[in-house]
Amino acid sequence: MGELVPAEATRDRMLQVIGLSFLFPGLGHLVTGARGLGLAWMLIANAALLSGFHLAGYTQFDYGFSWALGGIKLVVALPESLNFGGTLLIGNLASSVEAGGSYIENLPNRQLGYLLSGIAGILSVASAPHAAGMVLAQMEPSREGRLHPGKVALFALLIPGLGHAMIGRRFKAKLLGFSLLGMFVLGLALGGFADFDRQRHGYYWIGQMFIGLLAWLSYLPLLPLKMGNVLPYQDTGFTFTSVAGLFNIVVALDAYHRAESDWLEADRPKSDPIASVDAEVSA
Amino acid sequence: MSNIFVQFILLLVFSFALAAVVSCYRDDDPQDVMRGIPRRMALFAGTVAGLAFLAYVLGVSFLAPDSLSA
Repeated sequence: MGELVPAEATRDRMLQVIGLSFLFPGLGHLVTGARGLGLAWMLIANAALLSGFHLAGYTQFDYGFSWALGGIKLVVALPESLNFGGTLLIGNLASSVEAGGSYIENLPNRQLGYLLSGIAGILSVASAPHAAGMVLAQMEPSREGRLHPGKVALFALLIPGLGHAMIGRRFKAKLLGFSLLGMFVLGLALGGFADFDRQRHGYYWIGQMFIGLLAWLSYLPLLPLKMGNVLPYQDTGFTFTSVAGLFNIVVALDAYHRAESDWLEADRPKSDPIASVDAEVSA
Repeated sequence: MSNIFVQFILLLVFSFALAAVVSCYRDDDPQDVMRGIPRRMALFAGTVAGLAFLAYVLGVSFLAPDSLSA
């Protein structure tokens, strides 16, 4: 049997709000008519981003890349640039204090800044599937009062496996939660719990942040721990923690996809032909 | 100094997590997911171990520092 997909008009609208949300978090929600939620998302994500950049002296840009395009500086720093518009705006208005000759050690709250701007980037990109889920709920409303896929994807990003638990897939929730959280914690242990630090391991940090709440809550408490010497499996620790976070993106995508299928399956009239990928391909 | 057996166990742990994520992405039924995990785990771990063995053989033969003079 073919896979259920939303109608073409719904998908077009979803793509539109995903693009807008990526450009500026909350913009997609505003287009769907959810003004309160859109403004709240916009305010929280951008306030966290701006305060994070400010606390860290805009040194987040030192971990990324920039190109001059005419009069505009195109900046990419992950995960901050997942709020593309906000990061681009800040990148064109401010520069890293290190470029001005200051030392990063003079910024006592820089790590809090990294944490805030990192969370802001991830929350910003999470607004895209959430807004797309709202479009589905509006254009193809469910009669069974199910959770829309955007909400499921958001919770899946926060805690690995939670999204699957919310849509009744308990086996997958336990398997994925245990695997990813276990891999992250094992990776931390292999690195002496000192392998989660943007200043020392900036590229690994991008992936590590995607494990969600566990990483966000443990970041500041783990910072005082330092590697006294070279640990035998520290490289494996970096890989485990970072890849666990990247796996969580796949898990969130799967949670969205399954929730969307459930949504469409529940409301498909038994007599109607199936709106499926196969049908579209044969057409 | 790392130990080859510990490295192998860590490879199996990584392969299990990878296989679990891929199987959950490909299949939805728990039975299908469980069936897919050992196959994908063995495929990934076997490939990595095979490449490691190949790298070792090349390292002690053609690419060994004294291989040119021989």
